[in-house]
Amino acid sequence: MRKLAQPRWLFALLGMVLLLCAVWALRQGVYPLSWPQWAQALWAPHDATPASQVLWELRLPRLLLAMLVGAVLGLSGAAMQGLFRNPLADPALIGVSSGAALASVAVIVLGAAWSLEPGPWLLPLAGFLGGVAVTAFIYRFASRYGRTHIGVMLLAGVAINAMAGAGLGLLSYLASDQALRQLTYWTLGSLSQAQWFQVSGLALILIGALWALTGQARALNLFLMGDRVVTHLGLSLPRMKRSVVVWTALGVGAAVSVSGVIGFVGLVAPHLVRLLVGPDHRVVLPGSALMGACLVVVADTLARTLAAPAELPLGILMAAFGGPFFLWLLWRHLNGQDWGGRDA
Amino acid sequence: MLETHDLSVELGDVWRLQSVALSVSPGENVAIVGPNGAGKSTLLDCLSGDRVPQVGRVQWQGTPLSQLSLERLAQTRAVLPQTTALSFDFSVGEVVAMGLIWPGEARAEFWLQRALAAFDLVALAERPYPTLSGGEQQRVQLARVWLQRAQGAEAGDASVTPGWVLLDEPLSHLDMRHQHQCLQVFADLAKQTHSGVVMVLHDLQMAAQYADRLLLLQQGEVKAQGTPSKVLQPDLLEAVYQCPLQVLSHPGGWPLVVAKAD
Repeated sequence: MRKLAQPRWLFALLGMVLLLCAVWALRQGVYPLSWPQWAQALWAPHDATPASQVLWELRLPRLLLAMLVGAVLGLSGAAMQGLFRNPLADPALIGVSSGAALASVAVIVLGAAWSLEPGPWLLPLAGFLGGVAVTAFIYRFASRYGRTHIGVMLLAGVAINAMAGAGLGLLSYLASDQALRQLTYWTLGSLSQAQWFQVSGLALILIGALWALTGQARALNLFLMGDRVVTHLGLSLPRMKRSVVVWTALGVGAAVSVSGVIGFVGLVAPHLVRLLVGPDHRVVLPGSALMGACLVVVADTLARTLAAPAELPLGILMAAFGGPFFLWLLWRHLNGQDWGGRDA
Repeated sequence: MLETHDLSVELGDVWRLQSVALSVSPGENVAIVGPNGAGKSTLLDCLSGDRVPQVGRVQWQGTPLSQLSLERLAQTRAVLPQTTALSFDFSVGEVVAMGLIWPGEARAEFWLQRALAAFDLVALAERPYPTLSGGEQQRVQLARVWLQRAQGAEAGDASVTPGWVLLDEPLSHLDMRHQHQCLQVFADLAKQTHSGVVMVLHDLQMAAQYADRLLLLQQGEVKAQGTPSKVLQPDLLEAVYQCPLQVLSHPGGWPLVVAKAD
């Protein structure tokens, strides 16, 4: 039933796919580049030629940001599904992303209204705080006696999404024209404003999250059997929960702050990895990061080339593919087939 | 030696345990018996270090459990919870291997194979855990707990580190053959690793056959403690279980408790 017996095959396969996707993404675009031009520009970052500028100032930062956003969302989704003991938890579905988006948009709109210039760190910080607030709230709200109720959690997510939507609507009422454009960008999700400093910032967060969350992989595995099993095998339960809540909120908050809300990556990527290699978090966590990177690179390249020279919002594209995928998951569940996990 | 004196636990304005005294020697097999709600699982929670009692304390070799690190506790004691929910598709081998305290250690694979064999799980090793029957799942959890203590006891220079094992209703869902196999395997583990075993059992006949000592609880109080033939007295049991019963003698020499026919 599992397609790959060895985790290292998964990493090799996904690494190869990611590399191919990257080459493809760097080739695609409005500005045509022949192979020799392309290869030459790739080795000459500081050339004044249009080819070099297109590659190094537009396509490359955008590609890397797409990889990082996808990796962070895939990793956060996998960790959050472990924390909720349920494969249907997704940062966007349960409202973490919209909480982060609301906090970030509030900073933009209110900052503009009060003529404050938000520094580059303020948006990720606001996104982080919004994400933490929603994650902590949902987790406490839906958990009783160490069990998390999936129905309650998803419905609470619906409520949070609705409330965040109301907040975003209210802010769009208050917003100036320029802030309004920004706001649409946040709610639909896009990587069109990719900058190099965002790449380095998000890379640091990804490294931190990968390090911290893979360190909790064994605790997450044991946690699936019950709260106490973690302690019985000598690991700290509060430390694991704290690590997952803080790093997923930080990762999702930062991802939302550079790309807006992009749903379903956190749901689809871990699920595909579990289908390939099973549910062991030691493999699922890094594997979901790689898988998420592949998914977002492909989706973003399609977003900027399908309707070229116009751009489709990335969030819309992901939802258009992710929605049916989610329905398919529910369909398999209703028909009692294995899906990498059943209701907790 | 695992011991406690005068242990009392209050939970939601009710004293679930009152002045319980218990000591378990290395290699000894103790069964906690009593009606539903007598406080058996609460006592086990205290002995595992999960719950800190309001009065009294549990000590291992003279040290209170609260002063042992989580890691040290994991090396010393293994716990089978009453229920375990696992809905993700781990294979049987992966679930049992979660009992390893040092997954990368040289003899880890050896102990894993021993654990699978001891509970008849070799043929099921690749099966997804959620597709197993209730009894098969219980054997997987038992193997995981066995593995933790077996690996934890190995001190390296062929000596063993003593410890204790707590089993909350280890026999649930098991068929007759695997019930006996289970208690025999843990009795052997107790002798080999100098571990005290404390288990909550409902089957008084199984308790009489395998336990060295019984602890009879009723509403948080110890009603009797001692060898099976001393504790399993018809008058006492009828009063505690509020059920007409008879104590016969098993051909093997231990008491056999049966309900009285009307």
